[in-house]
Amino acid sequence: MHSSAKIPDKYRPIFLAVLFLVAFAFRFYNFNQKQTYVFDEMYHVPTAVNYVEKGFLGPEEGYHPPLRHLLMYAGIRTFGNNPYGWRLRNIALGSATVVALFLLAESIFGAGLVAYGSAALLLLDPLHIATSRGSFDEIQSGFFLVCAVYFVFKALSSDRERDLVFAGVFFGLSAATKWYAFFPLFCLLVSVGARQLRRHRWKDVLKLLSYLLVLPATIYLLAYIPWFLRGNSIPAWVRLQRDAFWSVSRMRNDSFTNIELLRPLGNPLTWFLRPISVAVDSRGGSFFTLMNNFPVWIFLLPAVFYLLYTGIKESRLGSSLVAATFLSLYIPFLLSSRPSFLYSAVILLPFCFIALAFAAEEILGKYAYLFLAGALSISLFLYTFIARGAAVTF
Amino acid sequence: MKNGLEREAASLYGPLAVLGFFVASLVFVSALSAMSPERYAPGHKVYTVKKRASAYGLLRKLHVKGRTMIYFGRLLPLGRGTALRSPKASRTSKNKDFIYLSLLDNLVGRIYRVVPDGRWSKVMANFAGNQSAFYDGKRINTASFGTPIIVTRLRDVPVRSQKAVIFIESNDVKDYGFERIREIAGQRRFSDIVIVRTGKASYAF
Repeated sequence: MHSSAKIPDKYRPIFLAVLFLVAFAFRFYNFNQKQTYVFDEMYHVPTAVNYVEKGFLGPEEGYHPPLRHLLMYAGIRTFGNNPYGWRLRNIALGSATVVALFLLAESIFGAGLVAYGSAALLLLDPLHIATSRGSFDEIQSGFFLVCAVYFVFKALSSDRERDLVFAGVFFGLSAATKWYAFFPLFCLLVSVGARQLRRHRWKDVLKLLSYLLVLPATIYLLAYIPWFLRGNSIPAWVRLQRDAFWSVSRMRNDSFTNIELLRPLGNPLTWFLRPISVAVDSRGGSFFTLMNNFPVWIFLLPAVFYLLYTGIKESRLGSSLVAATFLSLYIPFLLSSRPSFLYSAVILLPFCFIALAFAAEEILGKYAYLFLAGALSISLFLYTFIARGAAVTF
Repeated sequence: MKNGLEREAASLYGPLAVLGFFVASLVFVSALSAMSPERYAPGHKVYTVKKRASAYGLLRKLHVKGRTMIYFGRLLPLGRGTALRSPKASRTSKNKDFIYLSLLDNLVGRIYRVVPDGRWSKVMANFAGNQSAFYDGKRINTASFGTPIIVTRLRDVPVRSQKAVIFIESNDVKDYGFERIREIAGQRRFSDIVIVRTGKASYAF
């Protein structure tokens, strides 16, 4: 049984707005203490300008999809070529992810501890906050992905075609920002498609393919409009995707010019198993710190497996969907020989936090509130370091 | 009330609309691509520059666009240089970033870096140790900044109907054989612009 504290419909928009604003405030506070480029902004900012104005994908290497450049450019045009222009879109989308996560958890588990708890955990997570205050692509891709999973759940549970269309749009937006979304999308297509095929529901298979394959592919393609404006053809675009895939999938540590900085950010095996922290860019006396929240994160993997176990055992669609999304994102990280660093874990966090809040409620019962209060207190404590620009090293 | 057949047909409107959107998008981006054709220089001319950086200024002056460059030289200078400081940085090219700026300004849209036959086995050995590029059996295909950069032997440069820009690093001409390079540089149907960077070695093309 899950606790329920449903918000009356007339207060619901106000609650969601307040949730967004609180998340925004935590991410916004002191975000511009660094007036110079932080982390990869030295690549992201000029590439965004070059891409929109010239269709050119440098000075980045150019193998990640380009929707993020369009979003960055929109920020720069709106707020100027300054920290506001570079970072406000991530602050806004990072905050919106908290709201989207609440909606996803609420639609699956009802308006109870799982929904409020998972949203609060993400709202205060030090890595999610830190990456929302920089130009990390995982924030944008993660927001679109949570929205996509929300609409997938709605479509699967209500059979409404409109929700499947929205899911396809958000999968497309997520994949056009970074490729992570392809993995859960592929798993979804195979699992749901196979089920429909077994039932000989050909029309449903056709719908699935058109909304979750053709539609995302179209959005992905359209993100390259500035690149096509340079005179590049569709065969050239196909070759670009091939070469980009080849480069990305075969990258090694020595492919990164700043590997000495990145190495302490761990690898996917260790993200959830040991404390990780790196303080960088100490110019001006303040640091930009990327860290996991070890005392909380250590429970995440067991929580995901518990969610998966109960999902399968009790045939719960929502639990299985969340756990499967996490695994379809995390297993490629584990299997890939390409190095992945801590900031990539941001894409996993929303699904982990649903699992953690769920497991806490199921296992701890009324003590779940105490557990979550403790977890949030630790997050808040770590936040004080991030907000002040203080270095934290474990 | 719709009958069963009409309902059947209506339920496919959505997928058909998505398919139509996809096809329209393909047509749209193809049309965008066609709006920006390659631009050539009239005739055929060999230009000599003392510094690599001058090649960038020369290509700008010749108003070329989206061209294929065939590059003869040991090193392909792909430095991003000043570009990292600011997107609005001056367009003054340095020797190490003239290729980067030529790509940025869409003067060059594809590069074939020609490796001398004698060095190909060494290039392939390095490639085997770090396969971060796609080998199609003849050429090593990479993309930098969204632009194809293809490492190949001269005999595997595809025959093209359009003319190319040829860049020759004089210091490295002996690796390819002077006569062979001179023959290529002199072929009017093959190129409209030949840029020779004079170095310690001085050759007359």
